[in-house]
Amino acid sequence: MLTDEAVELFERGSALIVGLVGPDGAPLATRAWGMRVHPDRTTARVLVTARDVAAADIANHPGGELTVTGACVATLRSAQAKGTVVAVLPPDDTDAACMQGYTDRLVEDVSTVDGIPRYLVERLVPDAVLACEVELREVYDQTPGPRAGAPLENGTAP
Amino acid sequence: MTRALTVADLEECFVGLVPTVLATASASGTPNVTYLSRTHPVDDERIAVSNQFLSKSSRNAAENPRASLLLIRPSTYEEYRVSALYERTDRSGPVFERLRNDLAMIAALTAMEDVFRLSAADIFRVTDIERLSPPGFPEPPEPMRMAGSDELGELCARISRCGDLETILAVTLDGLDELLGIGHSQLLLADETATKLFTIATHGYDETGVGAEVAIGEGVAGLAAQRCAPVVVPNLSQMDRYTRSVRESMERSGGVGAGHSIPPAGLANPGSQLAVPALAMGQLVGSLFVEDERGGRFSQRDAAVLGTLASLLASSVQSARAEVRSSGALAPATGSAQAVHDTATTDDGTAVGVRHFTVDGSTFLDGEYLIKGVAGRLLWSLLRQYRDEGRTEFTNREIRLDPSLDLPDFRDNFESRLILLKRRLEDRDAPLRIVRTGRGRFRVEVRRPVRLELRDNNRAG
Repeated sequence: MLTDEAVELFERGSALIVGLVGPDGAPLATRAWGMRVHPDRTTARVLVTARDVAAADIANHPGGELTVTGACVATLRSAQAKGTVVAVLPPDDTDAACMQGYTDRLVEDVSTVDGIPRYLVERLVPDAVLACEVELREVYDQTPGPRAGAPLENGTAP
Repeated sequence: MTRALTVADLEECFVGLVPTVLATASASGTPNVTYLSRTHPVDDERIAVSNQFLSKSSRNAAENPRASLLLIRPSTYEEYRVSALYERTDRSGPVFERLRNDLAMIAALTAMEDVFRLSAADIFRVTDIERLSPPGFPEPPEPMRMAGSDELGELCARISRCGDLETILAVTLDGLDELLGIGHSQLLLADETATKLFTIATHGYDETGVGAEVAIGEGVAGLAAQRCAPVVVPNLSQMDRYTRSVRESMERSGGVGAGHSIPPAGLANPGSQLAVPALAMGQLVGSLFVEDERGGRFSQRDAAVLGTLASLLASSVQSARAEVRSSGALAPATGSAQAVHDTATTDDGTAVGVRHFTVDGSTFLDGEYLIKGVAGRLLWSLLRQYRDEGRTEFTNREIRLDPSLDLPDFRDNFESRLILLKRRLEDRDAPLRIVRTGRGRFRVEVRRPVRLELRDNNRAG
């Protein structure tokens, strides 16, 4: 389902933001700190700030919706995936390595591109994340411009 | 008990340095999350979002009014989550106009007027602001300095005490650095045709750039002059990326061709820029331009402070011009033809070649461009009198009346052009100098013999 370029964008070289929805229907904006697309390219593991996963009460309400948008810091090319959270798990060692790699790249990118001191960007890093297993349903081009919101299918690159 | 945060507490988050995150949800509970290049405060309880490409977010808001935003304070990277309710969509009115002007500024700077058109402004009422950063978050070691009323008052007082235009220029730009912490500044004045600005003074650059011209409407300084309104570009890097991204998206869609990047200013890598128009009696006098390597250095508050300063500056410039005209008229025209050798302190015997083109006043010294326009014609007139009559002492009045300068009656820029010529000669370390000798008077110092060459239909001067 996901193109090579979309996978690359989500897994490497992008800033990840997440939309969750609480039991009352209220949206919640938060961030992800790493994402791994599984080989079938229709499921993914998204590392979301733990307190926000708790706030949206996803773990206790299976079938909750999650949207993740990845944007390249340097070019703003963006892709968005929407899906259903099928499980919320504590992070394992692979997740920890994924989060570390993601954080290092994000801090480097923002520091290099925007000239923001690294120690400032590092302040955003949360104390803990939870791994959300997501069944991806839809993928969109989210690059700023008139194509934002167009479906990414049939090999269309973002 | 901790006071509840309001929109006003997040002022710094709205300068456009760090993108905002907006999450909405459809009626069926599917979230949408997107970056916003900028959000705008409306009042203490409301924020506005430009609705340009946000079709999904807007549809969601109409179905489910609840929204969640992440904002970051750029100086500390403190993060805030704002809960809000969609209230209305404005397609006219003051908020819409403010957002439209903001977008139009980006469009004009990037030649993408056909792309950046605001369709609406979505207004959200804030219901809660949550500080996400941990308690005890330290302040940055060097908080960005904001212009204050005390410093502005002191600078205005200094300008008010200046007696001539050249001093006004120096005191203003030095004072911006010393009192307001603005280390890179340029003052540009409108030319006689009111189509261009020319740089009359700069501060904080390796190359002074005095004499450089920019069309009114071009670049940040030119745009402020054209619109007669401040132009704040808080994050050039992000704006450039954003516009490039949109342009590429449009090109993939077959929408538009390429525009152009932001015209370069003084700094090689400016982070933020601000220009305010200098107006007096409803007339454009010039444009005051400042910049900084850091993004987010200038806010709308700084624009207001510099706008006040620019108004005083414009009035002072006009007063100085009027004063020179008045004093020049009263002063007896010297007509004194001092001997050439009185002031011609020759460094060596080599003649400096002065080539002048009548078509546009372009003037070259030893083959290198010096200046053009009125200032070029002024130098040519002075050197011709020096060669033919041996004169070195002049009054502003007699020179202003010289028909060869082609000065328009309605916009007498003579004093500015004289300063421009003086500074260009100093910048070039030329063997010719302009030295003020009194109010409305000056001397031409010729330190090497001159060889004049007029380029006008192959006729030598």
